Amino acid sequence: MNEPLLQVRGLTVSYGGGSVAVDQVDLDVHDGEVCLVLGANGAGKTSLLRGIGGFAASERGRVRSGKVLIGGADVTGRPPRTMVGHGVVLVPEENKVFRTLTVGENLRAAPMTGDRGSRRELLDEVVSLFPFIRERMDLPAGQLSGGERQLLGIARALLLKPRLLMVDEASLGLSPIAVRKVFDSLHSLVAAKGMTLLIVEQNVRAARAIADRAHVMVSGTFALSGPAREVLESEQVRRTYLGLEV
Amino acid sequence: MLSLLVGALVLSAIYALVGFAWVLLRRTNGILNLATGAQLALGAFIFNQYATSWGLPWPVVVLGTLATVVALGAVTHWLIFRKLAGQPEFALVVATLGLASALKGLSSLTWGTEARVMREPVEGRVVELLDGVSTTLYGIFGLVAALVVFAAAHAFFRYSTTGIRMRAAAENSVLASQGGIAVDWVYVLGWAIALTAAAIAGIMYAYQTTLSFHGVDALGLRGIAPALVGGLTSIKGVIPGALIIGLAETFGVKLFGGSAQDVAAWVVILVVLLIRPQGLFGEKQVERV
Ligand SMILES: Nc1ncnc2c1ncn2[C@@H]1O[C@H](COP(=O)(O)OP(=O)(O)O)[C@@H](O)[C@H]1O
Ligand SMILES: [Mg+2]
Repeated sequence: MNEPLLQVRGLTVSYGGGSVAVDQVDLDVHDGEVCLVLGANGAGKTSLLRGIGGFAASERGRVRSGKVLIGGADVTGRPPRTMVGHGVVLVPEENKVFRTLTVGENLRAAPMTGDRGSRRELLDEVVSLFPFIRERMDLPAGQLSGGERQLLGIARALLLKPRLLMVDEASLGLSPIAVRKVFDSLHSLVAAKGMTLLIVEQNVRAARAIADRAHVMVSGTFALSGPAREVLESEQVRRTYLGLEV
Repeated sequence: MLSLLVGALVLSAIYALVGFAWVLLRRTNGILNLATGAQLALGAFIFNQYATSWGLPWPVVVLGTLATVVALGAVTHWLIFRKLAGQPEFALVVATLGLASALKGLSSLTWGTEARVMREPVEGRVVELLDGVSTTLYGIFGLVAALVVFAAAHAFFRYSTTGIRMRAAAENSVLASQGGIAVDWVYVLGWAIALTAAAIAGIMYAYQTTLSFHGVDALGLRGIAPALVGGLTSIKGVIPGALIIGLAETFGVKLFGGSAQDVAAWVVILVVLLIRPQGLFGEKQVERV
């Protein structure tokens, strides 16, 4: 196989020098692949995505050791904006949109690259993926429903032309119908654009349809990794995620 | 009476510019900048250096002051506040206090502590508006400058991409960075705009009184009053705040003498803090959780 788009080696993430949230994790994501990370609350899933996508100077978290490579380039510990420049874009778990900005302003805030024509084209393409945006252009994003905010966050990320799109808990707090909508959109991104995805998701039923590979995270490490079908069919995952808890 | 009102309006315009500087920095950079007064004075002294001491042509004076102030803004962020990212707000406030006294020391070493009179661009500074009602050219200029700054800021934050990104970074700097926005440059721009507004206010005030560090510094500190009336985060809220302070100070001085100058502003500050700490016109948060 070709070199993976994302290579993570021995990644260790800690907060304020103290607690280790991600402990020596290895992870490969290939071009066009959809990679799913599962795990209980506090397992370190968000910290893993943040360790890859970078912490801002104002945050307590940092990459303590290990390496993150994108297309072979070492980008370990770079701030989020630099990672965006490398094509790694995160739709974070909380605060996915600028609430005080309108929907249209949320999109305009994204620093798009390319000439005027191609920017226009990409914007039209993204808006046609999420038609609700057109009707809500002048509404403050804080007034959108949870599902719409999630989709607007994804739309904003797409304007940055990600090579690797990371989505942290897309279904969190959404109604079943909204979850469907969000995952239908992710599905069509993968099908139509061959988008490479790294997603954290608790809703196994929703993620099952699109995931190629899956990792189960427990206390900062991967307890189980493999092809999504196998991992999701495994006794451990069925019991925990498809049994009592879901 | 009318004369007093005109004087109050002119003073309000200056307060509006000062309040704008406070609010902009608080909102965009997240800093309650206690060095605002010192920076007001510094802007005026730089202007005076170019205009009076060096006697440069006026266009050079204006552009030179602007360039210097913007550069100072960039340096302030890059050398000080960028390093303090992630510190609690009180640490930033203490840093501005340190900055204020450093600027004060620098100013008195460079320019001394004597009050100065600045070179004037025009003769005949008094303008008669009506019979017995007059103001200075600088008063009128201050009013126009305040109107221009507020109108430009409104358009900038509402319609320009850079302005929208500044609002985005002000709301959530981590999300802004994750969204590819160059947050450090937003902060530099925040300082540059705030210091420019402050310099204009300092210069206008110095023309109407005299140029002394103490006088301009004190004005800058009183300028937190109109900012507080707007809840420290609303640029629009500064305008009623500035009118309140302008009127209170003008009539306070008229009734009780010069010592009422400081008192008027601080009384308003106390009243606002006691009645509505979020500001009389603090912007409502549009949110749905
Ligand atoms: N900002 C933070 N400061 C300190 N500790 C944190 C922070 N964020 C997460 N942690 C800790 O890191 C661990 C992993 O958290 P997280 O990555 O959010 O897990 P998950 O996303 O799987 O729920 C937890 O123990 C959590 O308390
Ligand atoms: Mg999480």
